[in-house]
Amino acid sequence: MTILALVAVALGGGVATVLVTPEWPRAGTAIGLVAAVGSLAIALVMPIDDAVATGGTALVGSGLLRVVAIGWAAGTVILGTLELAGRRRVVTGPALLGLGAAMIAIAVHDPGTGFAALGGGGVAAIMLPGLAGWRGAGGDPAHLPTVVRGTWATLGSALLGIAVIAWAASPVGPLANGPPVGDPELRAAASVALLGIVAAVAMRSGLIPAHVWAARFTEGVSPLAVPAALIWGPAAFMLVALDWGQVAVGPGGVDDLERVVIILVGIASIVVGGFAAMLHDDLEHVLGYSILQDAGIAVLAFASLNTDAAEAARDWLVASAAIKTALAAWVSAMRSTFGAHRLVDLRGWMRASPGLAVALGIIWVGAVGLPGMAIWEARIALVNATIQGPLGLLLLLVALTPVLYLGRVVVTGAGTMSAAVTNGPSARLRWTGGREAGWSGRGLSLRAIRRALPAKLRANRAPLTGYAVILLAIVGFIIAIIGVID
Amino acid sequence: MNVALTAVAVAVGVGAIIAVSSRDPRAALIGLAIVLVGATFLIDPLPSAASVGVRIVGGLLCLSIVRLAADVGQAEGASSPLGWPAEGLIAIAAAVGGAAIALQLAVVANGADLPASHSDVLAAAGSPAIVILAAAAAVLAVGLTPAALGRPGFGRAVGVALVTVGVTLLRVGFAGSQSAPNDLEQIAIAGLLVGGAACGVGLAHASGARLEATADAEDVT
Repeated sequence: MTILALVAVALGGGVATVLVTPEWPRAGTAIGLVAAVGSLAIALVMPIDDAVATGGTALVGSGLLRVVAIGWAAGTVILGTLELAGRRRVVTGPALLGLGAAMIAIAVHDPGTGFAALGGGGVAAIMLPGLAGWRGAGGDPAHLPTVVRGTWATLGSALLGIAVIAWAASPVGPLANGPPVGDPELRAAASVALLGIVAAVAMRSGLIPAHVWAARFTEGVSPLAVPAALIWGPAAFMLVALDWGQVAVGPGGVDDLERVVIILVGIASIVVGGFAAMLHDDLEHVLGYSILQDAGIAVLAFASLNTDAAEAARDWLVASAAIKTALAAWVSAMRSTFGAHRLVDLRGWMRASPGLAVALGIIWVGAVGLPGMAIWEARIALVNATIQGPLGLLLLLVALTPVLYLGRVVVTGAGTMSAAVTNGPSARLRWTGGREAGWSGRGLSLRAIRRALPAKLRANRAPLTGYAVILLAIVGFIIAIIGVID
Repeated sequence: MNVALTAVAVAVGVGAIIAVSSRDPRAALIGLAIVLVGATFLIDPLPSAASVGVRIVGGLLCLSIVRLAADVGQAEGASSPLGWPAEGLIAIAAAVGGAAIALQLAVVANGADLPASHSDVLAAAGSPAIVILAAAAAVLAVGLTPAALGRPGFGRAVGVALVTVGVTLLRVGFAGSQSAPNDLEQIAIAGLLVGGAACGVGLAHASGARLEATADAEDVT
């Protein structure tokens, strides 16, 4: 029953937040945060063998479902809290809608239902932050087409996925005829179906060559809205597609042609994403292209579809999503703390903000991984399952570019402080002058506390933000260590 | 051949043509309502009453959301530049193609080898998937152009709704009665329709604001 409870809280809270926030922002924010905390609490107590029969099918729990729920819900709670410092409210509502849809999609083990749920629940995560960012930029005409493309990509990928799996289930499709081994017509049908699904995955994840909207999307929106739009949403889509691919096509159904196409898409995304993240000077692009690289590594699983690669892809998707959620929070914290987002303006940031330095250190180690960590082993397994030999080793080295692009940010932070960093807020907690807010001569004055607390929070925004990002980085790091446990 | 199913399929096709070709937004909304409600019944066997209810309510919610885009821009309908006769011919051609594909699928499903004999084709001609796929192809054919290339605003929102309905009909038609959508999938489809309509309307309003801003800037210059 906990799965159903989680779906109800997330979807109900998401719909209520999206509908209430435009008229009553405070009420909408409160609903969103309460629903996010409720979702996290349910996710933490959800047993992995939970199952509930509903709607003519069954929602079945698993370790994968639980880790996605915990990672996404924890991220929503902290990102929604960080959003309180700004004026816009576009994080919790779409994230909760996406979370509820993803829970249905992963638990139901029926790709038709899964893609429909992800399509309906995912468009808000692109459109609402995108339009808010567009309006916030004074209606920048260059940004609106990106939002339009992103929304169409989300909806279109779901529709393409539904069409492909429906055709695959038809009397001539691979699903209706068993494993397509030996029969050339069935192999051709499986090839077309697999390429169709990978095309849908590429659209949704913004893989090369469908990367333009995803790369530009991060420019115009709050980094806090990026996880639901570009990290967890595409990860859930890929998990559903992978599930379908293993059943409908299987490892024996992947021919050389589609294997080459998928590997090329993966390699292009890994190489371009990694090098673009290294070359770009602004943190939003570093975040966006690093997400693209992660998706490129995950898509390699479709080139083999064997059990080992699929399990590695599941580990990789949840671990990289959790870590990149923390990176998105870190980017937002840097922007709100120093009012800058270009590395040249952020020189010496580590000296000014040790909390954010600790957070980036955790994210750095989590994103690269260490031998024995799930994220490290999954990266190696995904590359080895598709490309062996010197080329595989080279691709593995390129897939390790987080060492360089996050390392560059660290090196920048150790330099001489720039003007923006020097003029930034203090990173130390300041609770002086708190007596009037606490115990008075006549006892505890709640009114005084209520009056003083917002000012205290504002005065300590920078260190508190740093602690919140550290917390999210720790959550991501733990998931990067353990991956999916069934 | 199920006569009622065929009548619903024809009504859905006609509704789609009205939705994309009418200059009056009210007529276009009526056409879209026929498509959204009619598509609920284009399935064999019929789902449970609760499931039908969810789809109808979802369709009407989708319609009321699309209606919000009717006041964007020049308040014209989707108003296809081709006109309804051309849209009708496109829909008929697509329906014939969809029916032919469905007929072949039905022949294969009956265990016959291809190319099929005359008797095999006759035996498969009663498959309900034929009218469902014909309607799906017709709705997709008339909906794709306004969804992809239509003017920002009402027309594009209508196009997106039609394409979404068309794809869900493809799902029903291809899978056949053996794996018809269960109740949860029907709910998810209703959610997809509402989500698609909401994104179409949201973008229509944003595009409308952008066009107004551009027009104001041109007036100033």
